[in-house]
Amino acid sequence: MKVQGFQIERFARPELTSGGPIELQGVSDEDILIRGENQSGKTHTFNALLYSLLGETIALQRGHGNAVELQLSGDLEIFRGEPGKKIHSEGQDFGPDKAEDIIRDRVGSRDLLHTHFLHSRLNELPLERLPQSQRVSRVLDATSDNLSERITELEEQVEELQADIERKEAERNSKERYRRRRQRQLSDIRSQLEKWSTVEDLAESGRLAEISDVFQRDPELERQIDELTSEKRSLITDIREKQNERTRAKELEEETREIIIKALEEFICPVCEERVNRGEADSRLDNQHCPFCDQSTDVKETFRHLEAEKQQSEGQAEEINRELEELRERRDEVDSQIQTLKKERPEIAELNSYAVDQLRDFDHDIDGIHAKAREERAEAEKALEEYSEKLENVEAAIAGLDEKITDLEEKRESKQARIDQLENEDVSTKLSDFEETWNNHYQQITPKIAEDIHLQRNGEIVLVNADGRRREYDRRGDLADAEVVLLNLSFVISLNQTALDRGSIDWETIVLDEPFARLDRGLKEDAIDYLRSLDTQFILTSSDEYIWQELSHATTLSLQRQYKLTDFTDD
Amino acid sequence: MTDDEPDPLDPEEGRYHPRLLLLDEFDGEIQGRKKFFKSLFHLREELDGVGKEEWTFEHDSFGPTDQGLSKLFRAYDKIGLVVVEKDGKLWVYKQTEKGSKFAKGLKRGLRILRKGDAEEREGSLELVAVVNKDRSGSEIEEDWEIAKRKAEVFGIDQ
Repeated sequence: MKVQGFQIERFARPELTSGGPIELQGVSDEDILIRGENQSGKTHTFNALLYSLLGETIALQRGHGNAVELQLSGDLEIFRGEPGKKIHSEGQDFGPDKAEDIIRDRVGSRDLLHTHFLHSRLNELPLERLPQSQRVSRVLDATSDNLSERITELEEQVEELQADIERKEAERNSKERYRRRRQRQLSDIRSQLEKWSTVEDLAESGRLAEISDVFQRDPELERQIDELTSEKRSLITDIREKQNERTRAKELEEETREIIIKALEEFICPVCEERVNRGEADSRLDNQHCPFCDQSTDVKETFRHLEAEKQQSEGQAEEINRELEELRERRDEVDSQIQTLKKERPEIAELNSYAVDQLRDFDHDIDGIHAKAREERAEAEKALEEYSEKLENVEAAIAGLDEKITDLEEKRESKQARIDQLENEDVSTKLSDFEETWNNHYQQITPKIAEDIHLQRNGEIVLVNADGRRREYDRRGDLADAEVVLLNLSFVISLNQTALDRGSIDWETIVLDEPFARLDRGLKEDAIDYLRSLDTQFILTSSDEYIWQELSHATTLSLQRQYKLTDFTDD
Repeated sequence: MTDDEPDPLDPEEGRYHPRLLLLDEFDGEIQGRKKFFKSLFHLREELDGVGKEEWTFEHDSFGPTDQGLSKLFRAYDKIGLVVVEKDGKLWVYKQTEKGSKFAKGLKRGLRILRKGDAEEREGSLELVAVVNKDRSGSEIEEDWEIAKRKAEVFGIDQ
């Protein structure tokens, strides 16, 4: 698709069209020269063409009340400005709601089309305007097969999978803590069951009655055993409390932020039942938002509360360990005293702490103790069954989560591998093909000064001469202005050729604003010769009479200077 | 309480979600507003540092009432944490499976974030549940504390 004509009724400033509309009609495929002296409106005309196609301008405030029409081959006319955007495409008229879609579908993507407009200012040239990383994206856009879109889509899928994995890991961590609690409970229940079973067995076999007789004959022995058993029980309670304190002290040794994230693994959303994953929590905390609900509420209070607790707990772990050691030593001593008494009096060897308590509480009523032990044993068995089932359920849930996490990780890895493959193989091949095309055009447009161009994967452009000397495009001062212009021009020609070959664009026009102003006569000559040899349509603005002569083949539009010196004098 | 009135439960205390956690502690079902109100009132009495300033109950002919409960449970009902039903004249508050998961997650999370406070509240909730869970509102009403309150002139407890 090429430009066949345009009409600028109004654009940017009234002086531009004070002498009537700027228009050109009936161009077939040939180049267009827009010539005029300084201040004749050449750059405005360049911008008006860009505006008509994309609604954008380069380095110009376009203002209001514009009216520009562009006629393209393939029966496509685009009007933009007041009273509104409209399109005539293949015999039909369309309003603003469809216009952009039609331009994109029939001509090509906005980004690619925009690259076809080269402004006279160096810093507005395409390679200057594009960040390094987007240079490669633009080349990939031109290669048509939506590679960059596919990579972006895959990267989004990888991110979603990662977020899902983190949510499942949070749930798994929560379930793991729950499992450990259940295991502790089960261990307690088993111990209770064993003790009640022993009491029941002692009562049933008559051995508890014998022990009772011993105690009744020797109350001092009973008192000693009772006291030691009570002390042991109290020590076990103290040990458990100290262990809890130690667990908390260890929890508090972590960074406050980590403690909050661990708590978040427990909370579930009351609406969707999901958990907040680590990545989300981190990002919300970084933004000073609540890590759970993402509101910009003050979370400092929660930090302060934990910091205060941390401060209190600091250095206490050692003290707790020392106290635990003392309690355990005392428990062992008490245990040893109980064992000594049992050795001295073998008839009470089978006695356990529960039996001691029951003899006291039931005042040696063996039948009462037997009934209680039977009841408690049955309760403990029921609890054992119930808690074993709970443990099995949580273990099954953990196994299910592990399976899901593995499955998600495999999916993520497979997608990541696909991204790597696309990036490493397809991208490399495409960049290498493009580099070859670019070098080819660059060598021909400027045979006297051309060096080898290398376009790196990160978008860096390096020129290497025959002696191996490297110069970087982005290092100011490495390249002459003429080289910058010709590199940009050859880049856009290559991009256009690649995009046309791949079918990702239907646009064969490159619009240049004073492209040769920084070139000496020899370079201009070579460049113009090369442009003339191409099938691409060039629309050039120029105030250079040499260029006017050289482009005698082109359709010419002459612009008049919009101001005279007398405009600025009193008369 | 209308929708515009503030919750009589102080937000500092609200973070521990006592009404929802009480329902959880009662195995997910409370039959009767009287039983619920009185158990909440008992809970407040059990909590150190939580008094009428932090959690205001109004007193009417049925005894202490928590004016924030209905509005809150309407909201919980809307998002599926509880189901509030009327069985004849009796209001029944039921926790859903989602509500149970939410409450248990809340308890575990608070144990990490605010261990001391959370454990104290769990202890109080357990105590109230042990005492009141299997009794009706009228039976609970016989309690001295509640009876004492009822004997006072009706009005806000201040």
